[in-house]
Amino acid sequence: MSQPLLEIRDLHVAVDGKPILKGVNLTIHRGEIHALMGRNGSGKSTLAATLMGHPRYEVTRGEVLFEGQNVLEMEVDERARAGIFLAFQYPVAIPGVSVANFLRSALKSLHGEEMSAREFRNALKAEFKALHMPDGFASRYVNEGFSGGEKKRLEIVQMGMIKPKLAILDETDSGLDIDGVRIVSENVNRIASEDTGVLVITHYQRILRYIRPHFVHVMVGGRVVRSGDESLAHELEQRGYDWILQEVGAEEKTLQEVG
Amino acid sequence: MGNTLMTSPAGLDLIDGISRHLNEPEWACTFRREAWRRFMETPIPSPKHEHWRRTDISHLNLDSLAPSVPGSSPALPAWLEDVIRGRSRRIGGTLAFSDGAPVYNHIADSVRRSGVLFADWAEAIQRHPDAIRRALEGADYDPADEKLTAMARAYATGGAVLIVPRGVKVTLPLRTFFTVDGARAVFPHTLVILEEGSRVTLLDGMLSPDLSTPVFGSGVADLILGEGAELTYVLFQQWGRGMEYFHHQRAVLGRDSHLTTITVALGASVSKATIESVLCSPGAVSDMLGVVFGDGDQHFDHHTVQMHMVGNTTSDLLFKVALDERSYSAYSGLIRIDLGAQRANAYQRNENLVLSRHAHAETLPNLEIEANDVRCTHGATVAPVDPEQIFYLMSRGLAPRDAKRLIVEGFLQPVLDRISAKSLRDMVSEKVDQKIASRRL
Repeated sequence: MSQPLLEIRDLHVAVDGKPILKGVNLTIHRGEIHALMGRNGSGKSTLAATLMGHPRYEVTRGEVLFEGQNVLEMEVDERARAGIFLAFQYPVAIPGVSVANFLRSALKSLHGEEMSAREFRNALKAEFKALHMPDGFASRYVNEGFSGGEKKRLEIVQMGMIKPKLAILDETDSGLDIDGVRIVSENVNRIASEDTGVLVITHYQRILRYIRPHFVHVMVGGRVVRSGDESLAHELEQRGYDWILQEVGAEEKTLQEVG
Repeated sequence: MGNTLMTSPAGLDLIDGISRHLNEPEWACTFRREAWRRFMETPIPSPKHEHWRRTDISHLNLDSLAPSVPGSSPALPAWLEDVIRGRSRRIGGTLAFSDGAPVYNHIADSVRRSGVLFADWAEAIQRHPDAIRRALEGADYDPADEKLTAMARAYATGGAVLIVPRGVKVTLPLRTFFTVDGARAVFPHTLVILEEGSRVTLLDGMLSPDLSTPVFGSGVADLILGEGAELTYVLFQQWGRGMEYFHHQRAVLGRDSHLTTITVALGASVSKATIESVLCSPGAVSDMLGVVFGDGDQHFDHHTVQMHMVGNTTSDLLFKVALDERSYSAYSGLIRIDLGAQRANAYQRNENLVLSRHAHAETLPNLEIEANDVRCTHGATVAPVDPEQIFYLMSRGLAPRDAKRLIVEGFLQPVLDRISAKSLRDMVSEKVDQKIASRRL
């Protein structure tokens, strides 16, 4: 099999000295859509922030390879230039900086060469249209005064402009109504080519009706405890998380007894 | 430039000499003498005085400083010519002064035909003596700044005068530039008189390259707004390092007039400015905005005054300060609402973005409110760049330096956006961005 796009091996991460991730293993190949599910506090967003390189998250063990390169040694902007994109759960506002100015600067940093002003305007216009947002957002300050849903849509506008190799969507569905989830999902599907890897982080199965994952992983207590296909998501929807917690608890007990 | 500089203490002879050279009427000479007397009699401000606590000038030997002798004829420096011609489109007129003498003027025909007076002091006082006399007689001396404003009024040699006749709306913005080119001291004076219902935008530029020997400056701007007049006044300060510059700006707002002042402070080693709006008739509105960007060892000290003398008046203020390296900024703002000035609205906000561990910002709001039916709010923040903003921008590929630069530009931008004349806004934004871009951050 070809070289994986992303390989996470035995990843341990602490925040302010407190261990959050306790040995995550996950491999994503080009063209694959993975869903990462789990309850609040299970470590999903910690994984997303760590992959992007947030300075608060300290990797205490393990490795992350992106196209074979050691991601953990890369700065945040280098990871972006390598092709990793994170759609934030809580995008921050950048007052005084227009969306257009921000994205122009971003594209220049990512690709080196400058798009012509006209090409850029047209591309941005097309993305806004696809996300059902008025063009006027181009001159608004980044995320300032945006509703929750508008922020999430703007993340996908950015994904469309940037066209990453790996897109990590951190609870992009939260804060969106049913139509919003559908529009955002359709656009993720459009932007993601057959070479793009996608990691969808979510509580709910809702978004997975539109972005259909090849693999579903369940995270509990900082580890991936179950992996399966789409049917695992359906099962979670039907039965909730408790049965997994019980099974995992039983396994741990057995392990301890054996050990 | 072949200027002869005064090195001996200036006397009345010098004052009379300036007045004669400018061909001033006798009342103007009397006015100068009075200013000079006040200058000589007022002691240099002590650092113990509240207004001078953060900027100590007790070491300055002010008595040894005087303007270039009138009669010297400086030329327009080439770099300033570039500034003027670089953005001359959509400009209604430009005056430039070097070492206190007029060196350039150009006024668009449309502006000239509308009856606007935009001229250097000597020409203006011949053409509109009565209006200028009334304005000067109404000019007050703020006790805290008396020493330096009296000095500026006594020694002002060049100086720009703008008088917009009743009902005339000047659509193209006007500019003045003051620079130094060898002089040890400079005394810019700007007088703006807007008659009833008139409207204009003026950029008052104070700029120079870095100065190899220290230069002292004291400037005054008098802004007078008649009933229903609208003035946008941009004070653009980009003196070179080596300048110690002091500025007193006082605006008097008539009934239903609207003043927008935008103070942009980028330059000088030390600069201290008092920016005052006096709302003395109902319906007057004052919007005061400010942008400061400091680096190196720069020292900025801004004091604003929102003076509500009558009710039904509104003042708003937003001062944004970004500081890098070892720079320092003090902002102090007074809102004063007199007894009887009911239904006045006054707002004040000062935000400081501190980019370096060694930079320091102080903010000191002060309210003196004697009326009881007013709306008044004030707020201030001093904060470093938010690391979450940096993370967000870097996650889109921006290098840390570019991320920080974008955040600083964005922080200052909302104030620059308030310069409605595009030609001026572009010029000022470009200068601000250039200074930000020159930093390592």
